[in-house]
Amino acid sequence: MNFKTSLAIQNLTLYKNKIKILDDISLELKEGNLISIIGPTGAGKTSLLRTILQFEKINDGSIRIFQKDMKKLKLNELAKNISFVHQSSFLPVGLLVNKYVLFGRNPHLGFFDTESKIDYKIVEQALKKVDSLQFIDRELTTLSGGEQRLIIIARAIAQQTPIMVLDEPAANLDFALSAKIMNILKNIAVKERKTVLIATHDVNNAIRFSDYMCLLKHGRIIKQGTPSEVMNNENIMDLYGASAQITKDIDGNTIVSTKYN
Amino acid sequence: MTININFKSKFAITLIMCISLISIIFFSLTVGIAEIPVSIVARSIINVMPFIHFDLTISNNWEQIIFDIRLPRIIAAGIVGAGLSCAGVTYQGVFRNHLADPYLLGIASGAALAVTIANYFVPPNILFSFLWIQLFAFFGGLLVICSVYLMAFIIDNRNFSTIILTGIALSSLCTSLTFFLLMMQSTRGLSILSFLFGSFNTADWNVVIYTAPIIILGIIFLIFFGRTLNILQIGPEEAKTLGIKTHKMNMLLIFVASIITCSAVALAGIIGFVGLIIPHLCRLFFGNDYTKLLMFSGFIGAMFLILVDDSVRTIIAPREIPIGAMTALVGSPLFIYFLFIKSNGHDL
Repeated sequence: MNFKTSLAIQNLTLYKNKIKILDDISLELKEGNLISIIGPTGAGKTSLLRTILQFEKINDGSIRIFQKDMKKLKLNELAKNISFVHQSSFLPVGLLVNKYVLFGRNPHLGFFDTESKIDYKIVEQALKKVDSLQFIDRELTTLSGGEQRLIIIARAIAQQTPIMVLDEPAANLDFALSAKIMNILKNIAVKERKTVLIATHDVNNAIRFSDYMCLLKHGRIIKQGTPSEVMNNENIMDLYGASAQITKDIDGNTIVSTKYN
Repeated sequence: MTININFKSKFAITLIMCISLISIIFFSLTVGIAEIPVSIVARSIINVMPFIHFDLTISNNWEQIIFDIRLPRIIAAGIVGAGLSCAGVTYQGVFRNHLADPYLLGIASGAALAVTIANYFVPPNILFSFLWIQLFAFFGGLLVICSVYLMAFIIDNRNFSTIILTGIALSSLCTSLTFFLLMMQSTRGLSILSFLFGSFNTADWNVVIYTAPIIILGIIFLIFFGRTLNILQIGPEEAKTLGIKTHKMNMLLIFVASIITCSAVALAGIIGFVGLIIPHLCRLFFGNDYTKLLMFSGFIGAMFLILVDDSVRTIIAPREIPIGAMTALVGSPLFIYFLFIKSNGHDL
C-alpha cells in the first residue's frame, strides 16, 4: 500500500538553557503507521514530542505537517491535526468521563457552538474503541490509574486528528493492560490510517506493535527503521549500554532481555 | 456525588433560582428601619407596572422608601454579590486553585486605595461624583493587576505562583498605604473607613445605573467562556493541544473578572468571603462544571448578599453593621455545616 507522509521533521535542533537537547533530527512519519521512539532516560524523547506539539521553540530545522510548515499553522488548526496524551495528565476532581472525553471535540467547535448530538456520539465511539463505555457516567478521579489512562486516550481519539502523539501511554501499568493499550493504538493506526507516534521504555511491546522504530540517544537518532532492521545486539548495546539477549518466543515475537553475568 | 444535571433539570433549576431571587427581592423590600407591610409593597409594585391601572392609593412616603431607597440598594447588593461570586469562580478556574478569590491579586486593595485617594480629590456632591470614584477604582485595580503581571513576567516568565506572590505583596502595600492616608486626615477618614469595610448605604439609582451594566455584561461574558475554563483545568499544555490559547485566555479572563471586582469595590467597598465561599457552596451542590458554576453562583451570590444586607439594615437599626463583617458571620457557620454534610457521605 502507498502511505503518504504525514509529518516530516528535518534537521531539527533544540537548545534549552544553552544545552543542546535535540541534535539534527530528521524523521519521516507515514500514515497508517505506529512509530515508537525508544531510548534511555534523558535521551530527549519527551523533548522531541514537545517540539512536535510546539511547546518548544525550534532553534533550527523544520517540521511539516502534510507539506505545510508547522509554524504557520494556527493553534486551532494544529489541534485539528495533532492530538496529545501527556506522560502524567492532571485530572480535575468531580469531572465526569463523558465530559472529559468531550474536551477532545473543542477544536472542532466554534466559540458560540455547544456540543451537539454528533459530538456525544463521537465520544461514545471513542470510549468504545478503548473498551471503556461502561465508565461513561463515572467520575474520572474515582477510576483506577489504568482505567484513567484509557479514558485519556479516548479523549485524544475523540479529537479525530490524523496524527496522535502519546508520551509513554503504557507506562506503570500491568503487562496485560500495557499490551492492550499498544494493541488499541496499533488498530487505530492500521484501520483508520492514522499516524501514531509514541515514546516508550517498553522495548518488547514497541518491537511487537510498531511499524517503525527510532532509537534516540543524547538527542540524536542513532538508528531508525523497522523493528527487525534496528533491533540487534549491537544497537541495543549502543543505545542502553547494556548487553542483551534477543530471542524468539513460540509465536515468533522477538523478545529482548538484558544479560548480566 | 453531585447532582447530574441534564438540559431539562438545568432549565428547572434556573427557573427555581429566578423565582427565589424575585421572592427574596420582594421580601427585602418589606424589611428595614420602617416596617412596610407586604400588602403595601405588593400594591405599590402593581402601581408602577405598565398597562395596569388599579388606582391604589399608597402613602407617598412609603412608595418613596420602596423605590428610591430600598430597591436600588437591593439591586446593588444583588449585582455585587453575583459579580464577586462569578469573579471568584473565574479566578479559581484560571489559577486552578480553589483558594483563589477576587481579592487575591490585590485588585480590591488597589481599587480601595484609589477610592480613598479619590475621596480626597473628588468633592462628594459634584455631578457624576460616583462615576469619578468608579473610574479611580478601575484605574487602581487595573494598575495593580498590570503591575503584578509585568513584575511576574520579568521575574519568572509568568509562573503562576510568582503572580500570586507578587499580588499578595502589592495587596499588602496598597492596604497599608490606604490606612496611612486614612490616618493623615481623621475627619473624613472615618467615613471612608466604614466604606472600605463594605456598605451599601451609599447605593442609589445613580450608582446602580453605572455599575449594573458593567457587572452584568461581565458575568454574561464569563459564562460564554465556561467551556474554556473547564478545559483549562486539565493544565495549560494539554489545553493548548485542544486548541485553546492558554495564555491569552488566562489574561482575558483575569481582566474581565478584575473589571467586575473593581466595579464591586467602587460600589460597596471590600466585602470579603462572598467570592470565596459562594463558589465553593455551588461546587458542593452542582459539581465543577464552570458554565453551571458561573450561572448558579451568580444567582446564589446575589441572593446571599441581598439577605445579608437585610440583616445589616435591621439588626441594630437605625445603625448599620459593616456588611463585610456580616458576610463572614453568617457565611462561615453555614459553610462549615455544608462541609460536614459533605464529608459524612450524604449526597447533597
